[in-house]
Amino acid sequence: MEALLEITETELADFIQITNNLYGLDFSGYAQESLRRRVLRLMKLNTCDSFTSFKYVLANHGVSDDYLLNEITVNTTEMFRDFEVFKFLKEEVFSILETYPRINIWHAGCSTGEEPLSLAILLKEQGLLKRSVQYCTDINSEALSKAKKGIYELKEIKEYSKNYLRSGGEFSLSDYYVAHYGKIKMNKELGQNMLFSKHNLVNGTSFNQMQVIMCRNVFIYLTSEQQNRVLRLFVDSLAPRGFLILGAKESAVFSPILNELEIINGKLKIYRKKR
Amino acid sequence: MVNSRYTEKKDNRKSFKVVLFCGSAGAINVLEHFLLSLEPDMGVAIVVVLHRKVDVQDHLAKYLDKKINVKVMTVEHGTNLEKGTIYMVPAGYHCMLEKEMTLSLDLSEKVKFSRPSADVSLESFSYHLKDRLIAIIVSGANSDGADGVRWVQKRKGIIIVQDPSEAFAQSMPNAAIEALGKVDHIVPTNQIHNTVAKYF
Repeated sequence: MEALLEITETELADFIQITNNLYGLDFSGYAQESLRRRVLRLMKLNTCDSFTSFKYVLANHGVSDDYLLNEITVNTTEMFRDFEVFKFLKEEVFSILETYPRINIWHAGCSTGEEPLSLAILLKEQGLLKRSVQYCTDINSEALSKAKKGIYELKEIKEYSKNYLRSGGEFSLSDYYVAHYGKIKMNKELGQNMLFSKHNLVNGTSFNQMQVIMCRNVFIYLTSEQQNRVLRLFVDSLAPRGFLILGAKESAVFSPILNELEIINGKLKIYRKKR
Repeated sequence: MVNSRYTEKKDNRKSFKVVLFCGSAGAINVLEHFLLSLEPDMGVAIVVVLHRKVDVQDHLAKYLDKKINVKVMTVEHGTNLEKGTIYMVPAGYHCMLEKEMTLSLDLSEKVKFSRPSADVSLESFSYHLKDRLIAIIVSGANSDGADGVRWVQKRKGIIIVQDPSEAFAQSMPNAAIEALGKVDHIVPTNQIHNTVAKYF
């Protein structure tokens, strides 16, 4: 039976300090329990049976800063995850976006790119893709390079196809990719107006006025102070009457910054800037 | 500066007990039976980790909320853990407990093909609650929970396992019993509530 691997609160604080001092990384704004699990996972990956031995690896630069960042951050994403959100965008929001000559969309924490692609498909079906620019940012360089390639596992596609249709997709998802060797490659056309860039939400700044910001399931990894900071950044980056979409199980209702937003759909966590 | 949050005194932790109910295939009936016996003024919080399809999870919470006389809600990230309430973990997320007694959701890798994973929640809850955690493991067709209950045992929590002989799927209760060697309570469905209530 596997040995029980443990890390105390003091050791976790130690980890934050060491990675800050030696690698220039700042994990102090990460949600505690999630971070604790990720560090335990890192210890297992590096076959360390205690934090002391992991500390030795860290202190001797046995790993790189990129490796640490990429392994600590979580990249789980899907196409058309929570299809009701996409259905809502298509049915209620697209008609408003249509009135803009250029539509700026920011996927903050785009991970491996499934969400920008999902939105690109729906925008295309509405004739809005050519007018849209999708800014896709993430802190994880490995995830970003996957997003740029647009190649995914074939085995997930059945679920994605189902959710594409439930989102109000008008054709078949298979019209948008080619399948080969157990993988799918998404049509290049979908990515024509996507810009990828490494960006840290916690200390990043605003870079454009957005009609839509999607940031789903990033807040769950941040402490409430950091959530506030990021929310401030989003509100400042939204164009007047712009839309903000958070993860379906993320309620940021405790933040006073939300007063600057109107709740469009509470269940789906869709907000709109008041002015 | 950075560390002040981690070293502060632990005296702000609330003192009620928490029941973590874990199950998979065949667990719904057992859960319903257990929840129907509860009183609205129970002095504990109950968190339910079930392996469910994303589609049906929300309906289950609504159905249970109508049927039983204790408040039932689906966990969102940051939900406060309070006594007298039943919390359903949403499908597709792991659920953990923070030091401040709020519930966290997480999308990290599946554990034993499961998200939510009983192992993840059991480890996290026992880390903060120690002997204030009561774990219940019932019917399920994999071994999720077997690693988690070892943490509960090590941290002096109470463990109750459904009698495998009456479970719809025996693997989950069997795996938990095997992992522990000795289990506090192995009981049939109709005695789960009585057994838990002793610790309320």
